Amino acid sequence: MTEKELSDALEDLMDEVCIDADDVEDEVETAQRAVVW
Amino acid sequence: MVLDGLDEWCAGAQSWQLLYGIAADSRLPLAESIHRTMESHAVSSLLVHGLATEAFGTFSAARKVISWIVEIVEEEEPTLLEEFRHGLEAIFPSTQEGQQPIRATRIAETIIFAITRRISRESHHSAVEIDALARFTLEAHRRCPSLKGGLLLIVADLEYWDRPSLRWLVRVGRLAKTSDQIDVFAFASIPQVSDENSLEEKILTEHGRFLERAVDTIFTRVTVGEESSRLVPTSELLSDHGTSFSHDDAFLEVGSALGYQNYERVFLICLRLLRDVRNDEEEAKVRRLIGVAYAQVGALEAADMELSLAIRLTKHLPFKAHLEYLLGLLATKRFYRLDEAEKHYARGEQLLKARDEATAEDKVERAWLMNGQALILTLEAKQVSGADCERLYRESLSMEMEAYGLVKNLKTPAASYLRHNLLANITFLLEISKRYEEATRFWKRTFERYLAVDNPGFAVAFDSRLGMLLAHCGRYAEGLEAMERARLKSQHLMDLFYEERICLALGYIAHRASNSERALSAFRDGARLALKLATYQSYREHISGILWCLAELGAVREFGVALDELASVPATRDFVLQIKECFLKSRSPLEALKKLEVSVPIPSPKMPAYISEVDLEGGPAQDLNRYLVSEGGPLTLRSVTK
Repeated sequence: MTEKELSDALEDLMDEVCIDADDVEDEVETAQRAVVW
Repeated sequence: MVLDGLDEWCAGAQSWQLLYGIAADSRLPLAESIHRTMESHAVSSLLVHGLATEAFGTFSAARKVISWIVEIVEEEEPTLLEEFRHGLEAIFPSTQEGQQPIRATRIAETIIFAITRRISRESHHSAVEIDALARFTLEAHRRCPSLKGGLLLIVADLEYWDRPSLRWLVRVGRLAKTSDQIDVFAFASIPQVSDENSLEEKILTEHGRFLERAVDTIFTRVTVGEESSRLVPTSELLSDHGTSFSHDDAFLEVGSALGYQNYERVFLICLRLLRDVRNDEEEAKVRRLIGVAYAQVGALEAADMELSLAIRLTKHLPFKAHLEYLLGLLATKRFYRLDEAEKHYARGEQLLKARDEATAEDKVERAWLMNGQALILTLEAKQVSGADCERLYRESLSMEMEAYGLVKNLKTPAASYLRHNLLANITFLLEISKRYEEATRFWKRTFERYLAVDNPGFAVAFDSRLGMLLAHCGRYAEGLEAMERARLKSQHLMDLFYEERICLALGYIAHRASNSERALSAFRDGARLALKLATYQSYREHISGILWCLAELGAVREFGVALDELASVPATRDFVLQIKECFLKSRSPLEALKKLEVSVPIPSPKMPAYISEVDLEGGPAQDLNRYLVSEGGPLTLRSVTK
């Protein structure tokens, strides 16, 4: 993957990460604890 | 010896004594005798015994003591119950219906995912509870008239105390001041460490190892006789009273025990499950849990054996792939054998490719395998430089994004946990590869939406992470603001452990911003917290920060005064005196610090998942998170093999 392809893919992913308002309530504890490797 | 100890204790000297060499059937009469003796002094004492039948139930031993204390507190200082409600709920859970149980289930679920999917220790949440319970115990002693004269626990069978209760007991001892009169006379036998591989043998020997560690932090060991004690065999600990559950409840109990690092409980319940399994698939599930528990106690070869056995037993390909993933993760995070890890991940991928069509479960397991592979690529990148390094980072990022694509539309808790882990890893990868602006933007775009829920725990995690990323971008004012928000929320949660870490980060960021006064203030706050927490490794970090700030401010007189103040803490006295000796020779604070290679401490990229000063489970060979954001180089003393 080239640098440009990577940057574009990251932008696409940021646009795509979209969770319903309902899910935010359900998933906040998961978001808190699903940290790095 | 026992009577001498009692007299000394009554004279006001503190004494936590662990007595060996008394046969089990002699202990209770002796303990009762001590109990009766203490009743004649102005001391409240409690005899604690009969723990073998509790089968290492989580907090079973602590509950016996704290229940007794709570009865006294209800009469004499009831405000303490509200003040320490959070800690008390850990051992006296609320039975109310409604939101609380659902939230508690989701929290437990995410902790279990972290433990079973990332082989993470996850003891922070229990450390906060144990710390609160210990402070409750001490405050009850200090404020209740019945307990002010002294509090003595006489423990007849410490070898049957569960790990969470032992941690609470040690914490009480660690936090007690010299003016407190809380003491413990305990009897124990510690089994000889054995190399036997049977689970029955391992349960008590693993507990014996932990008990020795716990004991050595706070007790004086006294051998008062030569009799050895026979420990209750594991099979007797599996009485119906201690371990009777339905099959499904047993798995929940294992999950709960894992969440509290109560490994003997995990092993006991698994042993019971093994006796009831009806087929190979059921046995494979149990073997997996045993393997995870072995990994957590550092019995890595045993963990490998159990997980390998589980692979042979199961015919369910996604589960086989998951087990290969766990073996790969062990090889990566515990053995640092990256080539071996890659073989496991490759085998996992092959198993899933053999399937006709990809179910949701297949996608989750494939995404975890890719997640594991991405970690390997990142570790490899740390070993090289230049274009090779950049290429490996890009490959790792690409793999993480592809893994995300597999699970982005799946709504199960397992898929949700993985999605969030992948997003956090992508942020981390961007940080590791020094793409700080992108990391900051990515973190905000993918996680900021959760702030709308007004969950303080999440807000601490979000803002503390954001603060460090902003600092890396050179956006120090914003970074400090984010960290201050995190600090306020941690205070709201009464989480001293996280507040102390945040103070370290505040000091670091302020120092990077060349604001030594603000950095000094943060390090001083952090030092006070570290002393309150009795976390002396952290205290040493804050000392380094304080002295650096004073040196950079040119405050030579204050530097000397600080050295004298800081030298009053025994745990770090040698460190401070070394600096003082250097300073007295050179009369230059900066020169003294540079000569001894004392530097401003660098915070970890994220808040700690475990608190080793409370969980007493030791530390890893190397902090992988710190290594990944460092300049790289060899991975601890073991060489990375490829």
